Amino acid sequence: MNKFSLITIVISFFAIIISCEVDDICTEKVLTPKLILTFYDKNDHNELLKVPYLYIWAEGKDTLYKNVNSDSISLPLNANADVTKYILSQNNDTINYIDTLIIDYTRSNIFVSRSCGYKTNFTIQNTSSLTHHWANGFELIHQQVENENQANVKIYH
Amino acid sequence: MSKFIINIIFIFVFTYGFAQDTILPANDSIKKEQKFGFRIGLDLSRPIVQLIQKQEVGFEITGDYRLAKNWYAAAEIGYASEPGKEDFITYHTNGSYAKLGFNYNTYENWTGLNNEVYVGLRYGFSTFNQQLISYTTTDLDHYFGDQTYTPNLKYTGLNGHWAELNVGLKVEVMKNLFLTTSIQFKKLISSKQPDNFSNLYIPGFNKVLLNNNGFGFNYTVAYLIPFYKK
Repeated sequence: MNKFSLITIVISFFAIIISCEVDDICTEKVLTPKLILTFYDKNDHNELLKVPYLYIWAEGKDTLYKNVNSDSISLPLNANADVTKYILSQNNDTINYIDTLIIDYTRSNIFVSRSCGYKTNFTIQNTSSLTHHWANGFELIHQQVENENQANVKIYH
Repeated sequence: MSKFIINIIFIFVFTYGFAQDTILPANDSIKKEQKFGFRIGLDLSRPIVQLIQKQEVGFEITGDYRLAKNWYAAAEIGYASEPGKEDFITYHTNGSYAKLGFNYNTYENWTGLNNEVYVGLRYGFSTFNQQLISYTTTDLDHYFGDQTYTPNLKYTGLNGHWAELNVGLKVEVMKNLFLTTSIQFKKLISSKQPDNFSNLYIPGFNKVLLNNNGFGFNYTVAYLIPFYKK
């Protein structure tokens, strides 16, 4: 066996080692993005105002947020329908206010990668609505739900 | 005493070796003749997989032509029909491919033998269709649940081209009949991608791995049609 064939075998051995790779696994933290809600003062639309004693659940589903005090909330949207209804309730021993947020949207499935598959992006429609019990009004500030980098809806109270 | 005798024997062995080198003639008068011709082969790994999995997977035909003592022009053509299953995607690819290149034999054969340990380079290209059968979007919050869609969407007119490094072995088992095996390291140059999807498998290239790398192997039986001897 001459030197060249020995080199060939050594190179191929290393090439095999290098080309063996670990199975591709999906490492994305966010696939289908959630709707970002922010809460502002009804008297100053640029002042963030936390909502206390907040309980949130989608109609017909388990409670998603239990007794939180926050000015920013992320809500998953139903990818199997064109509308999601969320009940936003302020509840402690003395008060019980309930408002219903109805989000209408169109969906599109976007390819991510071989290992992650597809994700769903949403475009919020202007027909979305919010009842006014503890809430005072809302504004759609970013209707494309394609990442979780900015707020989509401002709710005033 | 015995040590002295053994040392003397060692000196004689070395002396004998040096003498051999100067006695050999400069040119061997017997000429080593090698067969030159066209060799055609069939990849056996596909039919074997087809038998085991009971579904069509395609075929590959190989050919090579000897240009010089250690240089061969080589080509492969084939067809692949490959189902694909990832964690969240089910798809199917079918298409044809061709590879062109050359092999260099690094093995010094003894007189009368025609075996090869070779390295080769190839340029490959393929035209194919890929069908997105079904996919699932995961709900990472586990609130509304995962959704599965079955679009059965067929993307046609896709293509790709790549470069390959082959390392292989060819053994003449009977007169003019060779068994060959090779492994291939592939790098995709470019490919026409489907809209809102990706070329996950390319015929001839196999599964498109991270960084557009690919890997393959074949096991073929080939017959040499000799034209002349040189």
